[in-house]
Amino acid sequence: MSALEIKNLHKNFGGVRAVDGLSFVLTPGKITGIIGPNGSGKSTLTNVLSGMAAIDSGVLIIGGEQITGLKSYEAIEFGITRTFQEVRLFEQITVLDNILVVLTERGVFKSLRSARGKMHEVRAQEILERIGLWDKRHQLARQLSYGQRKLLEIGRTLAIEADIYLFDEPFAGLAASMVKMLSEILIDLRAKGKVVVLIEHNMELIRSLADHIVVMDNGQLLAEGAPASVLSQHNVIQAYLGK
Amino acid sequence: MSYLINLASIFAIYAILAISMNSITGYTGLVTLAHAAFYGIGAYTTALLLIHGGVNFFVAMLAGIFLAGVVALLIGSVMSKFRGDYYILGSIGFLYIINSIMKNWDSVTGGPLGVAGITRPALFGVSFAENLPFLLLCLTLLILVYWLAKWIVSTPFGRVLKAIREDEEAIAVFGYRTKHFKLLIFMIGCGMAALAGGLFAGYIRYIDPSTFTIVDSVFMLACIIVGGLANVRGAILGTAILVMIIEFSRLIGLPADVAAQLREVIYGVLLIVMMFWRPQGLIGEYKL
Amino acid sequence: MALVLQLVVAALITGAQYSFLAMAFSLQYSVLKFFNLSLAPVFMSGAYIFIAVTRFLKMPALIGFCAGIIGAALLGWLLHICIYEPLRKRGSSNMTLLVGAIGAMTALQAFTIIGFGSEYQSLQPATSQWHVFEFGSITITSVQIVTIAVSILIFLSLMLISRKTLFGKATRAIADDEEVAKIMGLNTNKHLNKVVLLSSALAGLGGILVGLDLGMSPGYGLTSIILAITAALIGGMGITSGAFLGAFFLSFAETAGVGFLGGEWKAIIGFSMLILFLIFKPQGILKQ
Repeated sequence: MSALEIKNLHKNFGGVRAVDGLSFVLTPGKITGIIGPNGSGKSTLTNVLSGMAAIDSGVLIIGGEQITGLKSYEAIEFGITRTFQEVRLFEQITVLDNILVVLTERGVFKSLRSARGKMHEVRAQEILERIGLWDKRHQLARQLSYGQRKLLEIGRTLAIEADIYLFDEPFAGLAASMVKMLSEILIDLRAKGKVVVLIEHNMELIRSLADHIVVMDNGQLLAEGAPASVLSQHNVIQAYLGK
Repeated sequence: MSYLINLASIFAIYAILAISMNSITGYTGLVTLAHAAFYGIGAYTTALLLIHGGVNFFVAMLAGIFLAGVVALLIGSVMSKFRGDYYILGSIGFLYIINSIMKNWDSVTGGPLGVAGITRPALFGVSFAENLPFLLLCLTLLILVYWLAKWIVSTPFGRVLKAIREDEEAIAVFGYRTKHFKLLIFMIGCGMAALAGGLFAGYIRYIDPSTFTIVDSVFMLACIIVGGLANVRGAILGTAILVMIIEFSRLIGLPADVAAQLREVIYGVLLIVMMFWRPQGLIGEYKL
Repeated sequence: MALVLQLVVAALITGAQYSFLAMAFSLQYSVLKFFNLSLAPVFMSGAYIFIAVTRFLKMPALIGFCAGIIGAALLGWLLHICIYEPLRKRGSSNMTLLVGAIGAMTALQAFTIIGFGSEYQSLQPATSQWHVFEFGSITITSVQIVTIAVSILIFLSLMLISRKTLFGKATRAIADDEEVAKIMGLNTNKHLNKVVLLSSALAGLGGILVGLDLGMSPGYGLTSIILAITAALIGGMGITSGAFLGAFFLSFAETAGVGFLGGEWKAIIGFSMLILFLIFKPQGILKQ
């Protein structure tokens, strides 16, 4: 298990500095909340960390290794996995397939003659039962309710053993029972010593779940520290009110 | 009776084409109009090796499949960088280039006059010169291709393809080099089309570039869109329907060339109607 | 030297001929955001209506001209309100629209062959030839000069319309973000209809001018729309001025290639340019 360090990260989009000289460390066994007003660069950061957006300059240090360029299919090799804010499921295939598909062999030829099918099915069942979607496994993903879709997306992220989990606004639109379920999942991951990143707008949840908070504004680090102190900081409140 | 045998043989060849195009389009969501080019590569390779190389029909056909695979590897690598609508454009471009080569490389392909005098296959002393044995050959190969397609789809590989079709970026984040997956299925699909091409060459015994144009790719597309994308049986169903349309247009007594154009009108209208009424096709599992 | 000059002139003529459909396509693409391949039959309809009016109805060329432009505009508009507008209203994907366009193009092309035959037809009145001008070693016909002049005129007009008129501003607003334009109170559907009418008329005009110089055949439709898209791609997809310049870039490349390699390579060069730009510069040469 390793820490993830972000050093002087820059990412531009057509003249806009989405991430502007960001530096901080993510430690294992902690839930780190990332908050900030809309447009502060949180989603861009997540995209960069998962290899979906290229690093313009700066470096990521994962497990001691310096990374200046990350392709999306390499993210998992560094132990990084994520959810998407705008739920991105594989709509026209079944719930079960949505989980199985991330458990498949990565190699093109290996996946044709997969030898570990049984093992994957057991794991998929485990995950689906945990998020309460096992009895819906043969339904198409697009037939699920909004809350169920969010849970499926989270289940997909949990299916593979990773080290660093990036959750991008996972609680939005969830019913109370699902909120409880998801909170338990996050706490569980923390107990296992994983790096858990939680991007959220809901301050209640941040207060209750996060051990450490990073506040972003305009692509830069505005404040960092324990929830209680950071959330009462003047400049943090200003940033939110000002938007 | 011999009319039915002929109809069934052509149906089998077209069905193989439909299944092969569906393997690509239904599972990656990429519409490739270059398919007629690979149909043609199979036909020409088989024909030329048979006539000029004196090679056994089946060996020639395998050579055609192999060549199609190599060309598919080259073209597919280039095209896998293109997204959706640009992909179709690129495929039209490659189809045109390959068709031009068929028309202009006179010394090898015979130019616009094509290749004539192709003989029916023979294997281990069994001759397929008669129409009935040839039909059985076609049906056997159709069943083979059908099982191959069904198998591929049922594997984890097939599952990854479907995920690529749904959201390529999202599945890539989970560690899949989507370009490789798309490329492999493209090669397999094009190889199958070449198989159909070889059969066609052996069946009609004369081929020329006019059989391998965009009109033919659109026919294949119509088959799978009507029958249903991402369903191997759908490809066969769609082919059956379109072949029936062909026969119907022959039976109503119009002059042959008008009938041919009328069929094109019908295929075009079918595509439009399906987009409105049932984009996933009759028994398909995926809509564009 | 004289040869080079003649080649330059040839490239200018061809570039102008490509530019109409290229600008029409680009204009439509900027707001509708899909590859409307059915602009191919719209382009051809200008020429064919001209033929029908001047040869079958025996009316003067000017009437044929107007009828062709109006007819093409109507055809493009009809296709839009019958196929693309309803599909867009139900949120169909780009691929769905593209398949619909392929269907429309296939059906209309076949329709044209039924009506006019598949051979090339000349638009020239039977009894006269175009006036030929000679400047030193360069020969150029009246139609060709008019084509170049009109294309430049259209280019400048479109630039003016885009920058200085309300219509142009509305078009750019929709091109940037249709949803926002709707929220700002713009009747986007009505405006889109106008853009479709304008671009279809432009395509039809191009068809007539090309037809007057080179004649027209149903097979030319697909080739011209693909080359038009190539030109639009070269200049930057969706930028109408880019399409105009791209058309000339393409024609110069083709003419140079033909000059060195021979006539039958013309289309291959064009389609190769398409592939090359799709690979290396999908955003085109001009800055957005």
